[in-house]
This record gives sequence, C-alpha cells and structure tokens, in this order.
Amino acid sequence: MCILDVEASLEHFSQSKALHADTMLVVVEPYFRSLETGRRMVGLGKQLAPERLVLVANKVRDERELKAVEQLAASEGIAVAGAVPYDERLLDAERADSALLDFDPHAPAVTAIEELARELLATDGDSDGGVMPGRGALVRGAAELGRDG
Amino acid sequence: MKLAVVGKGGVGKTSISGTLARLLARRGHRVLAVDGDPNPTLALSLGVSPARMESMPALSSELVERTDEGYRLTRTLEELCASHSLQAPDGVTLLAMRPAQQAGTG
Ligand SMILES: Nc1ncnc2c1ncn2[C@@H]1O[C@H](COP(=O)(O)OP(=O)(O)OP(=O)(O)O)[C@@H](O)[C@H]1O
Ligand SMILES: [Mg+2]
Repeated sequence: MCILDVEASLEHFSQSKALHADTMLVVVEPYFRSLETGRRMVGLGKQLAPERLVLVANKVRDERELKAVEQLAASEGIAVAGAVPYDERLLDAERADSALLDFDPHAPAVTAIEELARELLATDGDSDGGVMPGRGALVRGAAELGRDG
Repeated sequence: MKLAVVGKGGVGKTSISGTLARLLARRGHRVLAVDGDPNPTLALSLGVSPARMESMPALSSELVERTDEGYRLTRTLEELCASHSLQAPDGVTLLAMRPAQQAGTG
C-alpha cells in the first residue's frame, strides 16, 4: 500500500502521465474556489483514469458545507469517500510540533480519517499485489508507485 | 492500494495523508508514504521529527534525473527505499522524494 502526498500545482499533476495510482483522493474544502479547483482536478483525474476517483471533504463546519461537496460529487458522478470536520486540534498539534495522532488520538478529525480508511479498504478492488515500479518511474507528483500490504 | 492525494494548496492533503497512512498501518497494512512535495511536510504530519528528516540524504543526482516531464528515478523504488527511507511511527515507511538542491541554491 502506498500513499502519495503530491504538491499542489496542477501543472505537474496534468503532466503526470506516469501517475498510475489506482486510487485518487481529491481533497476539497467546501468553499467556492476550492470546489472549482476540485472540479478541474476531478476532470484531470478522469483522464488519468484511476480505478477509483473520489472526493474527500475537509474542514467541514456544517451540514450545508457538506452538501456543497456532495453536490460537486453528484455532478461529476463520483463518491464522497470521507468528510473531515474543521478541527482546531490540527492547528494545536502543529503548534506543538506534533502529529495529530500523537497530540490527540481522539480528535474529531482522527475519527473521520479512521472512517475514511475503513471506507477505502472496504471498497478496495486491488488484487495485483502492488508491483514495485521499475527504473524510470517519474517522481514529483507523478510517481508510479507501488508496494502492497 | 496505490493512493494519490491531490487538491488545491492548503486544503489538507498532507494532514490527511499522514494520519491516513498511520491509521492504515495500525490496521496491519504495510504502508509506504511518499512525500512528492519538494517542500517536505509529510514527515511532521506522520510524527517524524525534523532532525530525523535532516539525517536522511536528499536524492542525489545519480538517483534522479531531470526530464521535461519532471524528475525521473534511475533506481527502482525498492532500491531507493533501502537508502532513502526511514521508519515513521506505527511502522509506516517514509520516502521523501526530495531532489538534491541545485548547486548554489541552498
Ligand atoms: N480538518 C481540518 N481542520 C482544521 N484545520 C485543518 C484541517 N485540515 C488541515 N488543516 C490545516 O490546514 C493547513 C494546511 O494543511 P495541509 O498542510 O495538510 O494542506 P496541504 O494540502 O498539504 O497544503 P500544501 O498544498 O501546502 O501542501 C494546516 O495548517 C493544517 O493544520
Ligand atoms: Mg502538503
């Protein structure tokens, strides 16, 4: 199992022909700008055609904000795999130079990410055993990566 | 599962990636977390101290070559992990794809 945290810029993302991630999480905040960027990324994601392309809502403050993300998902025909609430504990953890999980294992955001993990595992169709990429794999937001667990 | 986390700057990609990696590892999965950002912050979100991060060598020029499309690995990820990864909490392996600084820029 491999998790790739890519840099924000859309350029590298769109160049990344070699991005053979089987699952792509498009993280969005429930604000107009972020939702519009999310929509563009979903479009690019569709071109890259991962087996699973899903949205994750982050920094959600209320039902109305969650609805906005669900609306984007519906209009793109994809699912919302998780919704993480706006959680001050993340900022507190950062200030304490600590990982959220170490700072407060019971933070609401942790619970939500735990649910996201469960959802991803429950809907994981991966059976290839995670092949290591060969020489020449692109890195920097464009890695072809693998390793299974 | 090969999972890419994407999104606009500052949406929370790194916070979610780091926490998700550890939670998946706690469920017994072997997890490799790859920081694809030239400004690596995934370590912190995983709970790896900056000091330990600095002890890890940057990808040297023999390991990464620049192409029009981006950086290209000259070794397999497995070979790379042997020298450029470290153990993060909960048994997550962290690989930072940080290219070596260009001469004169750092
Ligand atoms: N659910 C949340 N509630 C409150 N704050 C959050 C939440 N998720 C992330 N943050 C905060 O938002 C900021 C950006 O988060 P993070 O660094 O994870 O985003 P990113 O998408 O990786 O950013 P970049 O594009 O710069 O790599 C951080 O200060 C983080 O603590
Ligand atoms: Mg980040």
